[in-house]
Amino acid sequence: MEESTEEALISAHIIELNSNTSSYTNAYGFFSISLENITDPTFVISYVGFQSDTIRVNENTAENLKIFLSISSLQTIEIEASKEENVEDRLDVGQLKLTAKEIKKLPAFMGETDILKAIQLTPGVQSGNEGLSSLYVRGGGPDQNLVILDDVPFYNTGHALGIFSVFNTDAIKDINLIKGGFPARYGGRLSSVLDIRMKEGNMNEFHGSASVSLIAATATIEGPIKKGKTSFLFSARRSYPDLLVRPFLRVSRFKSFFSDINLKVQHKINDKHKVYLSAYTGRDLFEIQEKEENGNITGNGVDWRNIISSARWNYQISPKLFANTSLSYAFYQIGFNGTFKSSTADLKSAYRSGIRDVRLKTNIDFIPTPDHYIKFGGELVPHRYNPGALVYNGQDDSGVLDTLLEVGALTSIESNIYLEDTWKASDRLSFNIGFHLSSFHVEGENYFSPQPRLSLNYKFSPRMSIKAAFSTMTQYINLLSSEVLTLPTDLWVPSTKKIKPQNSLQGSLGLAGTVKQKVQWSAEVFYKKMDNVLSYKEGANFLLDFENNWQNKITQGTGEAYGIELFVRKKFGKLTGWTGYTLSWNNRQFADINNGNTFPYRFDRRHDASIVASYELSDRITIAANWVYGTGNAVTIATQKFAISPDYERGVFEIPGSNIGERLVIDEKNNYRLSNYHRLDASINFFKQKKRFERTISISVYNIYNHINPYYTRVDERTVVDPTTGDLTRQFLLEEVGILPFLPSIAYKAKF
Amino acid sequence: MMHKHLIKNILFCCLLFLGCGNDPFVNVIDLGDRAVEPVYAATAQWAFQDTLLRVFLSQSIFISTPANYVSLPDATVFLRHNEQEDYFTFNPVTNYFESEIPLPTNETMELFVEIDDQVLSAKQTFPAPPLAVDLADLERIVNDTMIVENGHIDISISDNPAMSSYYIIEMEGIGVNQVYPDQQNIVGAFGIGSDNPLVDHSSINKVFINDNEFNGNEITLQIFYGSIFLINLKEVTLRVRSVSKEGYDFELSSARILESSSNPLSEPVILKSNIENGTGVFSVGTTYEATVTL
Repeated sequence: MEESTEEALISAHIIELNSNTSSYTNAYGFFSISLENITDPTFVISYVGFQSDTIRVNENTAENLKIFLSISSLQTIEIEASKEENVEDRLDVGQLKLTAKEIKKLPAFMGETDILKAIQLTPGVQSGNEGLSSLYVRGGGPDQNLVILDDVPFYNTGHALGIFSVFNTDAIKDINLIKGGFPARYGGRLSSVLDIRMKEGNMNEFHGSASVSLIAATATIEGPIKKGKTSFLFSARRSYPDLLVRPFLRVSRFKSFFSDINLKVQHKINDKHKVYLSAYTGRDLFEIQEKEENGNITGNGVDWRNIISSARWNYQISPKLFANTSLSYAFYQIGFNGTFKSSTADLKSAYRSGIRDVRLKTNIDFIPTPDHYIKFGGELVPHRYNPGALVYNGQDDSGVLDTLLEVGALTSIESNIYLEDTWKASDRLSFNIGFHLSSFHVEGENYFSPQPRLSLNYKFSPRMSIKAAFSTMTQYINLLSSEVLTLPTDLWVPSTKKIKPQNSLQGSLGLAGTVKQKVQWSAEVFYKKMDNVLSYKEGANFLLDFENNWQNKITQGTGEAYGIELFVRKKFGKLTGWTGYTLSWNNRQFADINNGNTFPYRFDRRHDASIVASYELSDRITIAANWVYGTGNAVTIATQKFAISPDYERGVFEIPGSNIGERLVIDEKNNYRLSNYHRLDASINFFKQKKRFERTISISVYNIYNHINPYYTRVDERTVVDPTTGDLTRQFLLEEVGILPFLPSIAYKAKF
Repeated sequence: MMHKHLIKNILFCCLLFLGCGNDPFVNVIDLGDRAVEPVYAATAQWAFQDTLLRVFLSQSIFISTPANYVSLPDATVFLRHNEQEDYFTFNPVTNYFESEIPLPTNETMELFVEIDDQVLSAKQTFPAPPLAVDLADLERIVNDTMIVENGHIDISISDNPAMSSYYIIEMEGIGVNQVYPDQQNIVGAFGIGSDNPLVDHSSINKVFINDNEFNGNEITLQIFYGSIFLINLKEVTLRVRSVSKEGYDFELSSARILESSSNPLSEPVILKSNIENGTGVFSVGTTYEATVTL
């Protein structure tokens, strides 16, 4: 645990020096090491950024050991680095751990540090469209990521149409991204797991922070309710573009903001029992109302919200057995509202779509011997989906209107059990072997999916290891998302009798090592095959059409992604950061899209690179910068046109064609590459210890050299005079539109 | 109407939220004339009961280029059938390659175009689709059911159970240009549509129907029509075309490409072509027109 707050440290490394036996803490700080014939065991406990501690243990204290680590001063971090477990020792294939502290060092976007934007800077993860927080991991889609906050999944991770993530960095402790080598305890998505842990709240002292940026204000407070026994953390954030923009708009009503609230309470019942209550609620609202000259009032609004909450119970059954049981609730809903008022009419329309889950989950950690760490458990999740409901009501000349158009709600039950063992076969070789079995019941149909998992790490030299992983995954719920534009109108829908579950099979192989105890590196190749991936059919409009069943607009096919990821990371010292490069291919094939031919996925990005660095100039000043580069997205546009006789359409050829008709050529899906993406951001942070608080001023610049990164394309059709003939002719003008130019921002933060 | 209003609301909100309206953050790049490899296109529809087959050739140009299509008289066009080849001649007046060939009754014909060391080819199986509706019956239906004031027309189609049928319906009229009222006899295509669930797709000025759902039966469609610039209609013409699958797919995908190009919420559509090494279509069809003088 952290000494000052008594918060559990996740994945802290514990090694017993006499036997060289090691272990890690789990998400709740629990660990267990069994020792035989060691009379006077000595443990060294280390955690990144903390001073290591060496303790001796006797029989009386061994069972419930509490170890406190304190945050290391800057000068000692490099020394302590040598005690952190190196990448070549770890059995984590395709995994990346980040802390909120690391993320806060990075340049902020409009003054807001963002977990998902930081994750986008790592190899194998792409950002999708410019400025958005959605994640595309190893060729997968944004719905193929299991994003969980304290064990509860999020269905929409974006504020302001995805420009900001829903995660308030001040309330977050730890982030673990898994993109390959999935342990058996995870399931339900094909491409990645983003496991985010909230802070638990300080058990001993009250602390807080408040920050103001160009876009939002955040306040966080944490402290003991009962010292050493019960603590809380409360964090709230609200953006205020409406307050800034409102004076310049000639409208009668304007609201535009996002907000979120995080709350967590932990209570230690005794040394063996602990309970947690956590909740998150987030909302986006955009509303505008205009009064016309004739007195008519027209209003439009869009809002979407997430609510998640969970109650968890930790029970240390024995020194070798630890249980975590949780009951949680997740809710996501989008809505659109329209109003029209005149002297004769008062009409309202509303559209709602959403999903809600209740989740009962148990995980048990069992450490029978030092060489085995067994985890097993299960989960039961009833889902309820409301793909769409449209309500019209009001009154006009024709009378009273009260209409409900609804696409039928669906329910399903998802369940899974798993068993995994992390087995240290020798000093050099370790495995994680697991099995995940899931089932899904919907519309009288039962789907089952056995999913074997395997990861291994073989340390073939003191500073280098080879890693390999194989995993299969199954996904039963899907996001109906347009490749054209990602909007919150995207709908979560289940697999049905007609829509089969998505499956993936992924293998990866890599090398990892550490240079001079300072720089970690890894190189990993991967291959992923996906079946039953979803796409809208050609020509389908992704806004739900109430006359048609959504399932008729969908088609299923296969996907394939492969490539190599290179990663170099320096975690310690004044200069920290990483550089990553991904070379990858990402294709899709559907029987009724692109004439059945394989085509590149929209986010097939051949080259994707990033450089992230932060430097401590002094105790009071840090600077940071990141540069990203990516091959342009693949889009489908008509780049050519050809002439056709208008008589063709008539099917009569008696009259020679006097006018030339035209047809646009779209020969292949995603036939065109947008311009390459690149951007440089930088920031400088000024810290100052005031009497009662520490003040931080952060100045950030997004897209320093103002490169226009395309967000979407559009075709402008214009009528121009042909210079040779003088005739009027149609001309199509192709344009790439960027939305985020050079954007400076400033944020002020006070922390006590 | 409210449904459309809602969709408009959604679009408006999303675009304004993204800053895509008149927001100063919007930057536009004119891509200009990026190098693209031109393709050759051949379009030919063999009209039923017509012995003259015309092939229209075109070389594609970049989308933002004004429509200065070059004529391609140096191409060689021929039709291979029953181990014989019929060569076409270029008609500089019509800009077509033409050949008098009796419409085959039961065979597969292959069209070839040789141009600039490239060979385009397409196959089309005959016979041509039979008459979709009897012309006299069509005229009767049109005259009996058309209600001009309400802008709709009822039409019945008796489907041939012996084969798969694909229909395209269009309408045009003659009237006064309401923008320039001195133009008294202007011909203009109507925007048309139908809410019949058997309709495959209603495009801007075309209704597409195939008989997957009503093979061999008679269906009655109510077609809505209207024009944004024609008033005081003098004539209304209804055109029903029964075409081969290749022609249907080509035209349906063409219509959808146009729609999706102007609708950012629509998934892209690939042009369905049966021309190998190029694009376009080689199809066969029959067309029936019924004109009503008002």
